[in-house]
Amino acid sequence: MLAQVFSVANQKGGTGKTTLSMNLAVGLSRRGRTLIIDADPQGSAGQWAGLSTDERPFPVSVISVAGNLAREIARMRQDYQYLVIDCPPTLETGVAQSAMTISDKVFIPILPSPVDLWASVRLADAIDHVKISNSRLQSYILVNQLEPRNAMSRSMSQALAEFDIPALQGCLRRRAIYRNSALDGLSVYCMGKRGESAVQEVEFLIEEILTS
Amino acid sequence: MTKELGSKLANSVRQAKAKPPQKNTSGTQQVSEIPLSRAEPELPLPPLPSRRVWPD
Repeated sequence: MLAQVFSVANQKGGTGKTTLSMNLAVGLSRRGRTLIIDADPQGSAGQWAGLSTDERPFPVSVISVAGNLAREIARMRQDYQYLVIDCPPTLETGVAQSAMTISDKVFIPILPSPVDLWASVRLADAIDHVKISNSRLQSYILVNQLEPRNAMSRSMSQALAEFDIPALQGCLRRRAIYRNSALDGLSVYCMGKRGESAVQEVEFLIEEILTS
Repeated sequence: MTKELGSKLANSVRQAKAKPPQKNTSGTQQVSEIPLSRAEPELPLPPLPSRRVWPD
C-alpha cells in the first residue's frame, strides 16, 4: 500500500510547522511506518531530531530532500505508510507548492493572531492553484498555540469561517511542553506525565486527520 | 466582547482577501517578482536527491 503524504505548510514563519510535523509524525509512527521529509532549507526537523540522545533517540527518521521532491516521494511511498513533509516558510522557491502537488493532505498551522490570518490568505490562493494539478489534495487549517481563555483565541472560529479552507476541530494549545520536548530532541509522546495533555490533543488531531 | 473581536478579525480577513498580492510600491525597490502560484513538481536545484539527517 502506498504511503499517505501529509504536508505541513504556511509561508509565514513561526506558526509551528516543525512542531506539528514532528509530533504528528511520532503519533503516526504508532500506527504505521512513518518518515519525516525536511523540505525546509533551515533544516529545523533534522536539527530537532539531532538533539536526541542514543539513550532516548527521536523515534522517526528524518531525511532532507534537495533534489526532485516528486521523484523522491514517489520512491519513498512504497516503503512507508505515512510521509510528513515539513515545508519551508515561503512560497517563492516553489518547494511548498511541489510538496502540495504530491500530497494527499496539507495542514496549515495558524496562530491566533490577525497577522497570521492575513498571511494565510495568500497561501489559500496557492493551494487553489495546486489543486489544478492535484485534485485529490485536501487542505485544512489548524489553530496552533490556542489559549482558550484568551479573547483572540476564542474569536478565531469567526475569522476562520472567512476562509475557503476548513479548519480542523482539533487544535494545539499553547503549552511549554512542546518547546521543552524540542530542546530534548523528543516529541511530547516521550515526556511522560508532563506531556499527557499534549499527547491527547495530538492524538485527537491524528484521528480527525485520518478520518477526514 | 468575543463576538465583537471575532467580527473585527473576520472583517480584516475579508479585507486581506480582497487586496491583491502586494506589488511594487513607491519608496521600495522590488528585488524580484515570482508568481505566488508557481507549482512545478521540480525544485530549482538538484545537487543531492535526498540525505538521511536522522539518524545519520
